[in-house]
Amino acid sequence: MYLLEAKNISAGYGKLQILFNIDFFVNDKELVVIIGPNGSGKSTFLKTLFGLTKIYSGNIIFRGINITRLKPYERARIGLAYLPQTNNSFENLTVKENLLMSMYGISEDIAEKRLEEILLFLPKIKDFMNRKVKTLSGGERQMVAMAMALIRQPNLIMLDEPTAALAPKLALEFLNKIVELKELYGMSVVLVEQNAKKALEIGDRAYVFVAGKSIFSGKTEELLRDKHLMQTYLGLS
Amino acid sequence: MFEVFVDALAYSDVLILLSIGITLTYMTIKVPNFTHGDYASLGAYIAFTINLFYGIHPFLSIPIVFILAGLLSFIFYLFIFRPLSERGANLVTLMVTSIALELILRSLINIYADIMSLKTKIPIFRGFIFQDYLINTGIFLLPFSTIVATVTAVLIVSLLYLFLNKTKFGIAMRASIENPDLAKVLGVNVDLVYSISWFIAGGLAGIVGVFIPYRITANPQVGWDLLLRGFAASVLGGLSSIYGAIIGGAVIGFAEIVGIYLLSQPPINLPIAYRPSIPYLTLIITLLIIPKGITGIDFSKIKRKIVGGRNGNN
Repeated sequence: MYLLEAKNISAGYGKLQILFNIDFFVNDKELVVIIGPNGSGKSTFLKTLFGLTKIYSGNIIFRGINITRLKPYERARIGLAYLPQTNNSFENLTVKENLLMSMYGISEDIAEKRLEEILLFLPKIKDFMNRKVKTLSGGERQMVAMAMALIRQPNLIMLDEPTAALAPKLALEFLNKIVELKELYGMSVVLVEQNAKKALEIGDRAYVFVAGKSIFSGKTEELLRDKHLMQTYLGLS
Repeated sequence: MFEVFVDALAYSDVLILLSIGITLTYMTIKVPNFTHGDYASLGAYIAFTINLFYGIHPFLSIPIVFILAGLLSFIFYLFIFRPLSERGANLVTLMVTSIALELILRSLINIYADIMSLKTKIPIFRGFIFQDYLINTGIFLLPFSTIVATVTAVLIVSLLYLFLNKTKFGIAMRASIENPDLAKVLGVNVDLVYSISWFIAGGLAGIVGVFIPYRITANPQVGWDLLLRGFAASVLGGLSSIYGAIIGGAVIGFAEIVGIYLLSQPPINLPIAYRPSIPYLTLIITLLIIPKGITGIDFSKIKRKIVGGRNGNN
């Protein structure tokens, strides 16, 4: 059984259909990369998995439970996490309050333990715990957002272009952290990433989305060997 | 002058409570809620009715008034504003809906006042006041209602501060208001948070209604009359901050009472009839200077400038 399976998903915003009949799955402890040109529906797909779009057809099964009609907060409470590309932290709240919010519904003692653990994984956060997020730099904000998504210790975390706002060196550091967290927490990761080459290097399997359809799914090595796909859709040689 | 200050304080207390509620509901689904004043009218009538039939002092009816007015606000949110908002209703649609509800609610209060006047043969149902008395502090005389209104306002503002900053649900409320989608993603039940915001907002407006008859004759229209001042206070506060609403309420309240007092003195001798225009003039002038309202002021920038200036001087 897959950890998460999306069967024949068609979805969009209101009457605007973005995704067409997508089949997708994630295994336990697997890093799945979704790549594709701009406007191919990668971010919309993550939002769909999290219940933030309108699903016209298809089903989403997570740990054997059909979650297609569950509300986003209910999905968060059963082990799914999602880090949006933008607006991924509360600007007017302090870092500590942001982290507290990320553990909403978790008992106090467990929350305290999780906070300690995340501060061990991302120790730099300690330096600005009591500052409001709006006063932080882009890199610091992204670190906070990452901590927010991780702190619940979800079974599956979905990251939407987490390095988009970061300097190249910081972006690489960040992607390495993602691999580290997968190993450390034994969780699965779905990564939408603009740095396709690096993402494919760290991923186990990959999907290529074009115009709202999945045109490739398989091992990342297979994709890296497919010169046609790499050149036509990803601009990589 | 001291009497004027006390009067302004009592008036500001009422406006602060009203504008906190207006701001709270605006921040959730971005609706300037015109029914808000009627919760105050409702509060006044509930307190009056309880006092008349059961002899309970209006101040003691504050908890029940809070719950009933809060429930009405919650019901309006749950069955009218939330479904409309979820279906993509824009600001104008939501606002016009609230105006329609306001008219219905005001008519219902009118009908209630008429029926009760006929039934009880007490004509004051269409215009009543509560008996106030003065407390001698030794130095000056203070109306009891002003003391209670001030204590209530301070207590509510303090409790709100603690609730919003020190409790998980309060922080969730701030988070859901700032970015509802992200709050949902993190496991917050935003619907529940918004429902409670509307309940609190309505409840606070209801409490305002208990204090109104101590100042002016309460009638079914009284909340509507006060609503526009509440909007002025809320807009002055920036519409996006509860703390802004508190400052806005105080500024509008003091501007109206102290302003008309000063302007009616020689050499200006402005007639008292101009009084209602003062809060709106205050609002317009403030917004011309600070377009985003009080919360638009970058206090940290000002602080840096002052500190920088001091260091420069040294």
